[in-house]
Amino acid sequence: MRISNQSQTSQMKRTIGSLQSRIATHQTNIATGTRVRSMSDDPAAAAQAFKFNRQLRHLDQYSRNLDDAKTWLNLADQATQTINDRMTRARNLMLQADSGVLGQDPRSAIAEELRGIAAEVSDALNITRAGHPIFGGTSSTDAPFAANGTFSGNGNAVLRSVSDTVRLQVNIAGDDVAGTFNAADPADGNIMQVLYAAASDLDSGLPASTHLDRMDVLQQSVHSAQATIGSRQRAVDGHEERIADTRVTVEANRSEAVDVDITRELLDLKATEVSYQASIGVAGRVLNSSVMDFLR
Amino acid sequence: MSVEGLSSAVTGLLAHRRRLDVISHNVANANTEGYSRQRVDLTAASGSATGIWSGSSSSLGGVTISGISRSRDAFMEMRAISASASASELRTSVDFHFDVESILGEPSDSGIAAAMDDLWASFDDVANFPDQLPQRVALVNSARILTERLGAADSGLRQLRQTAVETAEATVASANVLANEIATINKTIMTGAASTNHNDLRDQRDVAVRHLADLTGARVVDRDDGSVDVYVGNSSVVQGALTFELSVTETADASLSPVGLQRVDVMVGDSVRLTSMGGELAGVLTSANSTAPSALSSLDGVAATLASTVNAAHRAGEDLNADPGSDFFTGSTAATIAVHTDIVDDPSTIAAAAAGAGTRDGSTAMTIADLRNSSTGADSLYESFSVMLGMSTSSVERRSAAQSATAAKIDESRLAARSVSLDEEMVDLVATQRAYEASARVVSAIDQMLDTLVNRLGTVGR
Repeated sequence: MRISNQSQTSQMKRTIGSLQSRIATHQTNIATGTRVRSMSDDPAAAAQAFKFNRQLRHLDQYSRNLDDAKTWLNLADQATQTINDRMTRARNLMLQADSGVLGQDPRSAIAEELRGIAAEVSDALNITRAGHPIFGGTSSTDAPFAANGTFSGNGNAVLRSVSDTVRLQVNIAGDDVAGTFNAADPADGNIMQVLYAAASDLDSGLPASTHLDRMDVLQQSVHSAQATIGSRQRAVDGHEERIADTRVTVEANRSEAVDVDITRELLDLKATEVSYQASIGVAGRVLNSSVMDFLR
Repeated sequence: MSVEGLSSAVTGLLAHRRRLDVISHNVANANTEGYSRQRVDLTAASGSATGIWSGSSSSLGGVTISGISRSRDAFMEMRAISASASASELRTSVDFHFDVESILGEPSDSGIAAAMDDLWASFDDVANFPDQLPQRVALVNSARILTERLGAADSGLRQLRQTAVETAEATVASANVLANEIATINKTIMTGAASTNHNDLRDQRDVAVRHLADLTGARVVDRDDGSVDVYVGNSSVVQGALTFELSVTETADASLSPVGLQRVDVMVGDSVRLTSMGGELAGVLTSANSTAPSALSSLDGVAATLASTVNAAHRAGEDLNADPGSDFFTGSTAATIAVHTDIVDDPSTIAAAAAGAGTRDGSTAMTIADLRNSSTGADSLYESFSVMLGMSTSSVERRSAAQSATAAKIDESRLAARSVSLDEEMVDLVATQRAYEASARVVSAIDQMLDTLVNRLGTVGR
């Protein structure tokens, strides 16, 4: 086959150029740490990376939602704890008032304290998360429980998305904690109503112990609310763990799909460099020799 | 006899001086683009015709120059032209695909996909704090960022498409210039004396034809009168000294009107639409008539789905004023989609709650946020669009790389056949020099012989 000077130089330029561009690619891969910088670099890997990136962004939001859910449940936990404490105190006071050794004045003082406890309980029931009363459902009222026990909230669920499919309920209906408001028979109503009923009985010289049964029922429902909160807190912890695990897996998968294996990349770069140097060496020698060196 | 030998030796001297001229021309043009090595074709002069028939032994002899030919492999030239035209078509296509890709910029944390996820996250935030204004304002911002990115991608694609149209116009203008150049050379060759050596003009014409083929995928047919005819696609562009002007027009097309574009056509004269051309022009036209419109329409599809799914869910909800939700997005194309002005003006009109559930309910916002997982939603559409674009880019890229390598190799074979090898010329130079010296020696030998005949003969006994 005939070789001309132009075909020879053109071939040399082409082969050396392709080696140079391979070196450049290796260099960019190493510098950016990823070998998929656009969808076309490796469509299959890029498609995976696309999915993984989206999944990671979703996980970010789910863990934010989960943090909020945690705050809600912690607030509810504290509130129910306070309510439980105050109810125990009220129960003791009622027993104390009925012990028979107290005159009307101390009994009136106890009645006053019971009313104070009712106010504390309604305060605890009106506790808010960023302006949202946690026992008021989704209603727009700012304080769902009035001091006398009137309930103006609703029983709607407040939910948080914590995964593609799971929505976790983070609130407990006000009725489930405080008992149902009963306008007709306050003694069979919610915590505040019963406390007020007991206080007025004490004021009018009647025994308070008649309300103890209702108090027990109400305290039971506070306990079961606490149990619900506790189990939801465990669910939150479970979801938190799952999100952390998933994140690690997804990040590993993404890295597997698109990240540069530095060792391999460096070895490839070295090999390409060697052939680059060899080919410019050869080019230098071939271009230097000519038949003119040998003709006289 | 000796005198005839003298004259044939003179033809040898002249012929080799001519060869020397041609060698020096070759060496001078060793690196000229499109130059083909020239050869002096020598023929032994076997005497006059009458000499042959008369049986006369008298013969002039010597050497004649039958012509100066170009060394080129016609088949290789053809292959190189078509391979290089396909390579430049694919290269144009790849460049365009790369540009489209870089406009979308995926996969990244600042692209449309990320903006959509930010939007869903903002809906989730509103669902978490339904009655809080800051989250609603943040949601409006996220939504605006998304619509702006869709709009920016759309206008970027349209600008890119406009560039393709302008490139088509520039390409056609260059093609017309080249066609005129070819026709002019044709005319010179056709009208010039048959004996005139047109080799260098032919080389120039080869270069023009190659450029024209790279631009338009032109094919070339040699004619007996030394001219070439050039065809592009379904039409003739150069015939002898005639050219047919190409021009670019835009025509309404049903498949392009949904994205508000017109089809770009190349016309020959006023009425014939050029089809099945190749080269850069074909690449540019495919980009302008197919790649860009389909990317634009995919983007519009994403915008339309985004608007319709979010709007449908949003209308079912209720805002902070207990009014039913309006549309969240207005417009249904990537260029026109925007957050409803009422919502921008007053974010409390975002219907985050379910109807009648109170202002602290976020279930509608949560339903909208869940659209991120919809397999028919805007995210999925956009994802499959990005992946498909990546696939087609990478397949065009691979084809282009293969075609460029093939074209380069064929071109090297073509160059190997036609361009100058200095070593060869040097060897020829030595051979020519030797032959010249030998011819000169023959002249001096005959001279000595004549000297013998004229001056030494008949001197016996002198």
